[in-house]
Amino acid sequence: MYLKSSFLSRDSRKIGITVLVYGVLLILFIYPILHLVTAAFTRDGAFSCGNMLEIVGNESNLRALKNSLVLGIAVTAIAVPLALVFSWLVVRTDLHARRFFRTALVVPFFIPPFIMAFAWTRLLGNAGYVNVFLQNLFQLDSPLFSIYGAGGVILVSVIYTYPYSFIVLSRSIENMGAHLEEAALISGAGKGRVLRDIVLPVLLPSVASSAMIVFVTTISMFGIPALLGTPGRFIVVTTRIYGYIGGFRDPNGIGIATGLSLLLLVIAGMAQSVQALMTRFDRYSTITGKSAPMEPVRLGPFRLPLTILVALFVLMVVFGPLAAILVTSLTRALGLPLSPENMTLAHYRTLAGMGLVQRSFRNSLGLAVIVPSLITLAAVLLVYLRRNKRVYGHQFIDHIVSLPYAVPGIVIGVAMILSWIHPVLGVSIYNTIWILALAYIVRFMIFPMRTIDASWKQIDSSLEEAARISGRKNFGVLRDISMPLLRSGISSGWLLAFMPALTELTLSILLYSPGNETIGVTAFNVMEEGLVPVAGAYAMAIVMIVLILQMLHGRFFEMNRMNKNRKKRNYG
Amino acid sequence: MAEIAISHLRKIYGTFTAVDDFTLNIADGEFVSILGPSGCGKTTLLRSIAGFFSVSSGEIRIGNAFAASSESRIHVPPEERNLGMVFQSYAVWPHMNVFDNVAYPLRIRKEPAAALREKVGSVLDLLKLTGSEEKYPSMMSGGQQQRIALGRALVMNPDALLLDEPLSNLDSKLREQMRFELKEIQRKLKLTILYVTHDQEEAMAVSDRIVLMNEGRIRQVDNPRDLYCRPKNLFSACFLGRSNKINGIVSAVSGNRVSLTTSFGAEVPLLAAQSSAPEEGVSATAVIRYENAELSALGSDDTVPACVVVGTYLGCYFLYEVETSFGEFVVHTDSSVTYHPGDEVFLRFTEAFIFKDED
Repeated sequence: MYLKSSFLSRDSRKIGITVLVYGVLLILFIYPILHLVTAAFTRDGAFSCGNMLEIVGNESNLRALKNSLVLGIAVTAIAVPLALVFSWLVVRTDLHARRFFRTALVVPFFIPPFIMAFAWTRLLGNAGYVNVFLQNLFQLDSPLFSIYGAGGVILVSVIYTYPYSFIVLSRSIENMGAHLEEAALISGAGKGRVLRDIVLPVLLPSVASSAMIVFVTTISMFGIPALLGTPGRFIVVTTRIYGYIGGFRDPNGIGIATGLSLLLLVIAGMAQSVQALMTRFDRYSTITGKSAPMEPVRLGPFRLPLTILVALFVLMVVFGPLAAILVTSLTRALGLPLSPENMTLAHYRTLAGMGLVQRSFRNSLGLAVIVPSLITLAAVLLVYLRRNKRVYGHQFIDHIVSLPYAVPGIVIGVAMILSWIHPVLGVSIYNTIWILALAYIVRFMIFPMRTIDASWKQIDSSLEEAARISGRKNFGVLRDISMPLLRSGISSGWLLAFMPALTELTLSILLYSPGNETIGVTAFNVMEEGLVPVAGAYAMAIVMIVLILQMLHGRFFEMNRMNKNRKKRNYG
Repeated sequence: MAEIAISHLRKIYGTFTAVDDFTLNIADGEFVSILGPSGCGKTTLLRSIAGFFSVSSGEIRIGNAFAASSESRIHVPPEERNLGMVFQSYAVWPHMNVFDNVAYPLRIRKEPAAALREKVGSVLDLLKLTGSEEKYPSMMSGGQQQRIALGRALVMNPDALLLDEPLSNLDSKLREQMRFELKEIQRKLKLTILYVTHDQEEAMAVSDRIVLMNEGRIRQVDNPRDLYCRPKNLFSACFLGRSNKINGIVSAVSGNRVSLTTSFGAEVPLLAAQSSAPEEGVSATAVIRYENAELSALGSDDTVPACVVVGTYLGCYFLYEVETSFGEFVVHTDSSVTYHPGDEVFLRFTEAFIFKDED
């Protein structure tokens, strides 16, 4: 009956909405990627494998491809096991100060990667604090470590990516429920066998998915290899693409960059397929139940040494770089010892006085407010349309919107250039701030989509149905019932897009034009040009903003959760 | 199978005593339930016996060997206690199929392949899981997952079986069926079972003895019938069945006839149960189960007047709520006479458990 009536009532309005929604989604999300694929095989307006042949024929390009793969594999192989060990220590054992470590170990996740890279140059660069200290200590002629090159890129990439894996794995260890392990213990299995037979196999899907994320993030990264790899002649695909678009005087530069982008896209896609294959059989669907708290695993004699080890890691990896940029930004001139008379705020004044910096703050702030607001609104509408089946093929919306997030940022940048370099319908957005806005929309749309969708699923449809029975119609229900209940999902979706938009680098560096610089672009340029103290001040300012926002977000989240609990009780 | 002896067991978390001075002997082949409200310490007790918790003091003996003893500083880890356990959430491993889940304890014990197959086969047969060997738990219903968990606990022929609210995630029909099957299996294999539940009906149905716990302590240990019919204290009387409570001063005692004078001055004539013997003059609480009161249209010297507030028909009996001079009162009756709201009736109490109030 229901099917029949909905079939008969397929009014022109639903068709209209469908055309509008898919029109916009196709233009924004699908067209650039398709354009990238065709452009990679086009030269002088005709089909050609010229770009690909030139990539394969050029040793530098091949080396960049190889470097990207090696980097991705090395970082994944280090970061994921590291995260697994940390998660287990923090969730399941009696390690001292577990709660503190659980928060502290996530901090690198919130610091923009190019800032992390800069901070490490201040520790392990030629004049870095650690190198200078060791040189003086052992009376060496040259610095002991060099952050520039493959090793440095791997180190900092691991530090930037392990928190992804840590967040995922510690949550799944927690959710796994102690019962699965206890059932094995009572069956007679020793601790080692429990780990081998139960814990690792059950965690496999989380390990695989976080490894995939780490791998794709690593090969997509631009800031770290640009600041640490390029000076040490360690070129990866992303920095190579940047070179073709930004610097090399190659008549086919954009074509080759497009070809490289396509290859990067293929590698990322392959990683995702492998992961999908590994976890295809859905026999892992979790079996939930009330799980009694387990007594933490006693580390015994290893408790203190392991605590010290984790503490040292946090100190060196989390607080070391932050301390390095703080000291850099406050020291009058590089190389001076750290003493009160050498301290100054002059670099911050210089920074604040730079017109370029002021402008980029205005631009980034504008983008980071407008874009999240637009996409949050769009996400509410899309989820609403999909939920109420107001649009045909509603199940495809999520696939389209999540597509760009599986695509490396630099590839989206290239696709955006290709798609919007020529005026469309007589309007040219290239060389304006609007191409940045468009790129950000495509890139970050998934965040509010996911959170709003998730929190909407928590709202029982009976709440909306009750409003409808009471006589409210469509958008009235949305306004009176759904929106107020979605408040926390909406605000957290907005913030999830705001945060990366504020310090975005990879897209911005490809798409900015004079006058339209963003914070990421100017900070990167200041760092690349070697204006170290000012760069330190800049980095510190960004870190402070990001961490304060993150703290507010966390606080805000807690509050919302409390509200939600209270509400649940009221309904219950 | 073996007996379990627990003596003076205590488990303390910081300042909170979860289990206090718990002493109990479970005979070989006995089915004992631990019953109590949530938070009474029953799960903590079970997990201490399993070995997941260390005891703060006291000892646990399984068969002839100490599993835990605070005095001799013994704590045998769970993997060496040779116990079977069924968890509330089943805890079947999602990455292993039915056969592998059940076979796991035997694999740990390096059972030869042929014997392993035979033992697993017979357990699966017992639990009516034959044919599902290759299936994964996520493809199976809650009841079937429950059987897998039970099979895994049984297959290694444990010294005793520990069950932690094993049926609480099942729907009521299935729960009754599993309850019955569990009892059958226990009889057949002569298992020693310690069963934790908060559901009194479940405990009554399966147990040889029930240990009633509250706030970490044993309140009463008895067979189901005695626990229900001869509660030894106010908690036992109130926890089992559904009942009314009347507070007052014992104003007269003659044989088993007792008068209770409430604070409103009403005098309530009661028939005291054998297990409770109140003294005259003390302040006491009478517990009267719904089925231990009757309604009639005619009064006599052992009735009190009441007024029907509401009557509810529940199939095999009526449930009446009546108003008396000492408050509202609920009565079960299977009488064919029906009363209507507002009817004046008389209430007679056929059995009351009367306990002296503690100061």
